[in-house]
Amino acid sequence: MHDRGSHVASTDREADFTAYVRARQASFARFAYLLTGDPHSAQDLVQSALAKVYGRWEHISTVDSPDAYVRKVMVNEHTTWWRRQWRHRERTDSELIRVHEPAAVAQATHDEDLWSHVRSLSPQQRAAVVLRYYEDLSEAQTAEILGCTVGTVKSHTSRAIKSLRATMTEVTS
Amino acid sequence: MSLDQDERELRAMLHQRADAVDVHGDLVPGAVSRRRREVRTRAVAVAVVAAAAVAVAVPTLWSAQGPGPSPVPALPTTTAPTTPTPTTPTPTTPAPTRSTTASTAPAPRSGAIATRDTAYALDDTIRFGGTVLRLEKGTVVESFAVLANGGFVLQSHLSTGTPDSEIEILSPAGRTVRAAGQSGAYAVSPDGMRVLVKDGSANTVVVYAADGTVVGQRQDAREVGAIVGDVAYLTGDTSEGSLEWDVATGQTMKLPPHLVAVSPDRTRAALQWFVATDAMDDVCWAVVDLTKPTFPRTVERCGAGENPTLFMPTAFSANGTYLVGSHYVDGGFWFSAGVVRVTDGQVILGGTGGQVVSGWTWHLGAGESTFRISRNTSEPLSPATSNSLQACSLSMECTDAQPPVDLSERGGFTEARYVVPR
Repeated sequence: MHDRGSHVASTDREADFTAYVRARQASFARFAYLLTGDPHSAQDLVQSALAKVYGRWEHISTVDSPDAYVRKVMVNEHTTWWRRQWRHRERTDSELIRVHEPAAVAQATHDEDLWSHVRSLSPQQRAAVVLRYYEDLSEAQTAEILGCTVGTVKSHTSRAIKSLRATMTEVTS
Repeated sequence: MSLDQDERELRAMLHQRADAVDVHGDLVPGAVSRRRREVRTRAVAVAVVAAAAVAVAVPTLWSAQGPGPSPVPALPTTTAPTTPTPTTPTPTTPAPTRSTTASTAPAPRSGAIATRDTAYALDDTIRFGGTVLRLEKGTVVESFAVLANGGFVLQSHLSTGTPDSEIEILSPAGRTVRAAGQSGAYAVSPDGMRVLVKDGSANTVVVYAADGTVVGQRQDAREVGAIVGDVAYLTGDTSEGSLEWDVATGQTMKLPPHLVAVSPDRTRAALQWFVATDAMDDVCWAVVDLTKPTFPRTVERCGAGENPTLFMPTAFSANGTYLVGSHYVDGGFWFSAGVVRVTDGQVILGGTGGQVVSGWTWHLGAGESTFRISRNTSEPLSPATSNSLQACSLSMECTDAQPPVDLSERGGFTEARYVVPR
């Protein structure tokens, strides 16, 4: 026999989750794209992370910052993908996340090199860079999401910047 | 946040890239349906374990006739050539399982015991000699290992279900004797007597015997490193360090962080860690001497000198002569087998360009001179379209141990169909 109360609760949960995701999905898609570097992996990452979030939505929806939790799940999921020799990828028949070609600007070549280098960073470094310089999070907030110390965040970002500088110097020379 | 010029450029570039991303549609249905698939799969799995302690991977076993070659690789739709001959009584209460196959399975024929050098997985089967263990239809084998008793450790998931993997210990006949966790990691001792497992959802590490009984467990946030005899090794980061844990005595000893493998004689350990360097990638590895109290590094490879062949060790060879692992290639979707010499770090197998030994799973044989590999035999290598099971020497003289199978019907994904035991 179906429990009508639990059905209503489930419906409410899905409605609440749906409203939240629809309001935030563009932000999550952009974050995922910066982590993965391609739209297909970004879509897989977002939906994989959101599936996990949906499973714990009663709890997550009550915390102060669901966004931080979602980002944390995405970072962990992406790092896990990279570390494992094998990873499952869900077949995505639709292309919900698309990337337009950046507008041609004078900096295009330089930016392309910079983007290539960001994509070559390790997942933890890349996540640290994206959280600090795209999401504008503090070192403490970044450390919370990455599950590491503030010192490690400082190390990740300073080394990433140093590495970027070295590479870009080579490119421009 | 006060930014210098480089940081401002980086920030501007990231925003420009992100601004080019659009979402055309609704991401909710895909996420919700994915979650529901996971729940359904889990519910069935739990029912199976609770009702009968039988098998996420219930086998149908049959024997190929005669001493001829192993069965021709078959898609899961291929029917069994012979009817199983049960040697154990049928349970009085039929066990609900995820499989449509019989709830009983015969033990392998006399002498038909899997070994590391004979076993392999193809799609949803495990095969050795003339024996085929059919796993639940749709099982995708991620990795497996052969235990001392001829049983298996299996890490797998269902192709239609959750992306999270499950670790199980199977009997020699392929029955699940222990569901050991989800989304976790495992290591098997060189003698095949012990299995170290950490469930992905809890900070509990457990050591099992080959028959699935629990030998020891502890609460620990560290990850699976290695196990040699009754001594388990857990890998931790720089803040907590790695740990040697004697399961028999309960004694522990702190070890250097990032431990990933230990030699069979327990005198050497391999470390692997990620660092930032001025080079484009950042993986380092080292060998440390465990017999000295300061654990000195006897070999260390790090930074730009390693690019682009980022060697990532996973185990020592049988006699401890080599470190085996993989060279990181192509964003992690497939790997190149690698062997380096423990004493000086010299690359014996693998590298870049023509040295790439592209594949998915492999192991170096007990003689340390030949290996079996589930190899990417596509031309060009990417995208992968062809997969063979090959036997090779370290000088890369290879023969097909099983015929090539086509990957092109798998939606362009590069997951292997052959899996070689660890």
